Amino acid sequence: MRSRDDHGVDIYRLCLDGMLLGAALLLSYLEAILPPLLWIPLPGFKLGLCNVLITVAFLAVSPRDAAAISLCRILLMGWLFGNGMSLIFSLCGGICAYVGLWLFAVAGKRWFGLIGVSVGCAALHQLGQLGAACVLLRTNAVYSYLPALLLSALIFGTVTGILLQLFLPRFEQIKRKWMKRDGATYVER
Amino acid sequence: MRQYLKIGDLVLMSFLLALAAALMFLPWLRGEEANTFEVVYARTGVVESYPLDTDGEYVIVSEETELCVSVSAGAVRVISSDCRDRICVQSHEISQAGQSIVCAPAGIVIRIVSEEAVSDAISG
Repeated sequence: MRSRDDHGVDIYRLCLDGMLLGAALLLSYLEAILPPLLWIPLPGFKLGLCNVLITVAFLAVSPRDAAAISLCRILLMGWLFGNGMSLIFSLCGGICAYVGLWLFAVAGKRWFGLIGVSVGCAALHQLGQLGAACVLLRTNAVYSYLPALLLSALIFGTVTGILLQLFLPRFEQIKRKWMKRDGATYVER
Repeated sequence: MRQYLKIGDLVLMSFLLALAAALMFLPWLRGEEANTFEVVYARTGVVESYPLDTDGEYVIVSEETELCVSVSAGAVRVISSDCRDRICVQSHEISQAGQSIVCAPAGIVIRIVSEEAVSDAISG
């Protein structure tokens, strides 16, 4: 089976991206219905489970694919289950988290492990959302939530970092096995 | 394969923990007296002030969302709201200067202000 179609599109990467996007959407939806159950009264609080998949895409597929998956997830979630304001919050948080991936996972690769990457991206995500809230609500009073959000970034960033440590090697293994079985040549970017 | 935990991870986590603790205890350390709370309407920029030392209930309407705010023993909390998420209702009561409750769908911020902030606003 050819790895590229007639237009030069890498079919396997497309399938991987689609799979990761679908899973990220599902996890985002679960996160959206979870906070009332966990009773954590922080605006915009999320567990960040879908960030595991974005980071996997960043490290195991390519940074460009990770950006596309993250953007599509944010837009689809905002359109399907959110509103204009939640879309802007998610977008700002997503951009800051993506910058964090470059900062901690690429530039800081020597000093930060997967847990550090997750915690750092989570903290930047919260800061991005708070910044957006500050601008949209035209007040800096929202920064009173910062201590609680930083603590939640620390705790749940550690949890997602552990999940990442468990999931990433397995994803890479499955990807390599998949490519090898069909005789396709996977092009590393 | 990436290492589980590196030195940068520990430094970052310690930094975040210290920062969160410092921000959390700063109002108490400053010891600012608060006797006013403000309701900020984000869409219009209107700011309304209410006394903190008088118990009572206030109904605030913004963006077709109605909030019922209660003041009791120097603390403010939202007791009911028409908004979708009701995060403002689940939030803890606030009583220290600098604390706030946000209702993002309604575009309302309820914040406790210190006496210094109020007098600065008046003189400025």
